[in-house]
Amino acid sequence: MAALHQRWWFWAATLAALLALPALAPQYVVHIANFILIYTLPVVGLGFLTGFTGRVSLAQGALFGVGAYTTALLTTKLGWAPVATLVPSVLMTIVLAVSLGGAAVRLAGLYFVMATIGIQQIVWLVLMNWIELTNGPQGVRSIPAVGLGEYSLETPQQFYFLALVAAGISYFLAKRVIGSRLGLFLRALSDDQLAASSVAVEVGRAKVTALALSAAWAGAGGFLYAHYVRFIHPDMFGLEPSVLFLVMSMFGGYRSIEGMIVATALLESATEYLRPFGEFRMIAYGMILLLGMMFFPMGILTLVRRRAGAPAAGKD
Amino acid sequence: MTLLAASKVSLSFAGVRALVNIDLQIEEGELLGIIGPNGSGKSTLFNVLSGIYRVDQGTIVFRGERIERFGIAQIVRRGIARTFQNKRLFGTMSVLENVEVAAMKGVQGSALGDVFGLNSSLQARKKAGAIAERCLVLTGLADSTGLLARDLPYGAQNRLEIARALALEPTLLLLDEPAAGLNPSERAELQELIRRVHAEGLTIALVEHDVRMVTGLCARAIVLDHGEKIADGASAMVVRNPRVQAAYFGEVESEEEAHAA
Amino acid sequence: MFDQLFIGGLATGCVYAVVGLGFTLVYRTLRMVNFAQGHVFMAGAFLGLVIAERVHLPALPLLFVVGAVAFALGMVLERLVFRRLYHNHEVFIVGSIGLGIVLMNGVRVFFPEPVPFPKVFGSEVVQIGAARFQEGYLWVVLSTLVLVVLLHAMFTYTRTGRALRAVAADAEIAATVGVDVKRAIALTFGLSFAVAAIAGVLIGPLYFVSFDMGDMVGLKAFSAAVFGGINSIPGTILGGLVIGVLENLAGGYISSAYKDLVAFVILLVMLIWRPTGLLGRETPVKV
Repeated sequence: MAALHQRWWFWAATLAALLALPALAPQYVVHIANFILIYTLPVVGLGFLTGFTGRVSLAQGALFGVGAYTTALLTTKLGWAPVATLVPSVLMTIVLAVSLGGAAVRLAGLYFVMATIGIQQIVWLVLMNWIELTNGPQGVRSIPAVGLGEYSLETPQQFYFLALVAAGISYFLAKRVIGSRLGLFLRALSDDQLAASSVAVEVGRAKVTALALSAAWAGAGGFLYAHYVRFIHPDMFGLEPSVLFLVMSMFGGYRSIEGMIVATALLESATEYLRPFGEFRMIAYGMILLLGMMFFPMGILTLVRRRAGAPAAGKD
Repeated sequence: MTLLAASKVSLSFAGVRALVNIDLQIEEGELLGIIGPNGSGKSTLFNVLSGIYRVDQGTIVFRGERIERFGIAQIVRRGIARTFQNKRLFGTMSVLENVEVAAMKGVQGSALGDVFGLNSSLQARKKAGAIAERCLVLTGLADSTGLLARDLPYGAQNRLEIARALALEPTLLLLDEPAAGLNPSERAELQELIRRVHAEGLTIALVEHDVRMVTGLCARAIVLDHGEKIADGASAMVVRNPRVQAAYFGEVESEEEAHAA
Repeated sequence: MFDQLFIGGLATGCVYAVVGLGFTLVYRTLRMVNFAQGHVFMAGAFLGLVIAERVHLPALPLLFVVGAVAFALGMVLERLVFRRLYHNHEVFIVGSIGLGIVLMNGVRVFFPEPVPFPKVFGSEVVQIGAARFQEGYLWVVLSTLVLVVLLHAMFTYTRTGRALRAVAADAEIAATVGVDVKRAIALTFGLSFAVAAIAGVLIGPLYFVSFDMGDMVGLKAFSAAVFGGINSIPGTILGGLVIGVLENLAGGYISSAYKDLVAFVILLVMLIWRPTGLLGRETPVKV
């Protein structure tokens, strides 16, 4: 009971700090916080595949881009209201992910990684070269801000609350998904696929569902991103963000959504603060990936979790 | 009544004949022993019956339905559950969760229902939990539900495999060398467990290396050698068949000595 | 036009094949994909550049020196870095991507802009059929041929080569018959670095060299390896040549915009149709 009590205080304090942040922190910090909140969506979505299904994807950046481009094109070319494009963006991302990756996700682990590299490059090259649709290397400019009635979320402070609510919903829903029978099936098949089929788990269907879910989260994240930065370019959705999202979901430790979110916050702020160092920033980033994998292959947060005692078995 | 009938089942791997024209009937409610030396095709036969391998030729009829072209999950849904000789548990999941996954087979509701907390799904989860609980009690694992499967001692992993198969509420249970690697007291416990499960009306086929265990448990036994069925009948008679003796016994005796040593 | 496109594609294909060999060598030994491979190719080009600018070396010794330095670097990095990444394939992928980023941006510090490469392979124009080429293209094709023959000879006739093949087939069995598995793995990395670096020097004089040249070549070489069969050396070479020629033809006849797409579409289709690639062999699944 003491643990529950402590936890209650912990959550209340976190929530209070998050709500007070835009009022207290400088604009630059709020700006980074927005990116962190947005990125938690594709990262948590990717977690369904990596941690819970044992399938590593290097295409999450491209799917994030599909969500962003769908809303950007619908709002700028067809004049839709941003709020109306959330569902189409998510659906478009799911359809694309399942049609390109649905067959590949059934492949053994490393072959799926290879396929996702193909998907990543194909999407990026199409965004870059299908100029009539996407404007190609010109990118899409003047994407409108999300409006709620009269109120338009233009400044980082205004956008912050939308991002916070979205990240909150994403977290809550992801926890529910993991707690559902699908979560149980995914963990089972990532431990032993043959054993999972022999206890009647429809392995193929479960994997495609995991892929669709991870795409849905990426699409929603892309939607937020497009309406926050309001200018998008194909290079924002190349292999680089795919690697970044993968690392964020892996650094969070095995199968921990909280861990993924904390890792997203740490890595995103670290790389932001390295920004003034130019190419040295990228060297440092590469070193973080390399050393992180060399010394903490199960994620940086597993150390903390180990010390706190194994929580995996939960209340049962 | 015949529950499962395989006829003329053959399977080869890259020219090596693993199963040759096997005919096999399993009667409802019986406890059938399947014995044979190493590499005789016992596990291959189970892999065919459970859909892991596809037969090259022959038919398998289970409860009036042809199943030889079905996938693994489809066959489980028809009511054939199995255990694996080399323990294939979900290592990073708790003991309870291992069994719950299987218990989900028999319950209604959907993942989406779980996510949004629909009543039907919650009821189904509860039902699955109850099935799992019962299977864990039956196999003597009720006290270790919170442990991770990979942290269980070997003997308990063995029973967890059986509990997981039972949670599928099968009509036919295939046990693949469940006694391998167990010490004598664990063997005795296992035999007791198999008897108890059988007494509840479950049909069981048991692949086993230990002939004494088969003669002790099973009324009927079949013997495989080099992928062929060389004997079929009352287990006490089958083991005295000269062909069986020739194919099998020398090896078993030395195996027994190894256990005794 | 066809001749021109075909021979140009063949030369690019050779580069994909040789860089792809690096992927294959490591993959068949460790079942891991080294995503720093493309950047090793880039680093090889710059190593060649730095040496060629300081010492006036003829082409062959230059290739040899670069290959030897890269070989040593591969061995050292195996000991210091890769060895700690064998945990599982995800860890290896991300770690090697990290290493690639370090290599790329390390070179970027010294060479932020694309630079021309000295014409070490001569700059005469050769005519074959209707096609006209710089001499350098022939060098690429011939060197690839020689390299493949040398590799084949090494794997077939030398003790070390046989040991490497044994480890690739089954490391455990190799260890029980007395092969030094750790040394074999280190040598594998040495070889994969050497071939990629040599490919870098070969391609250098044909284009400008820049710090990001390894990105696309690395990914296409990887596609080539998967297409031909990532555990098969002949498969990888075939895959490289086919992808090089096809993308050049597609670029010439269809649209230059989608030239780069060819390799990745082939990769995806191949993985779904036949994940082991054209010439790769399936590894049996044990139950």
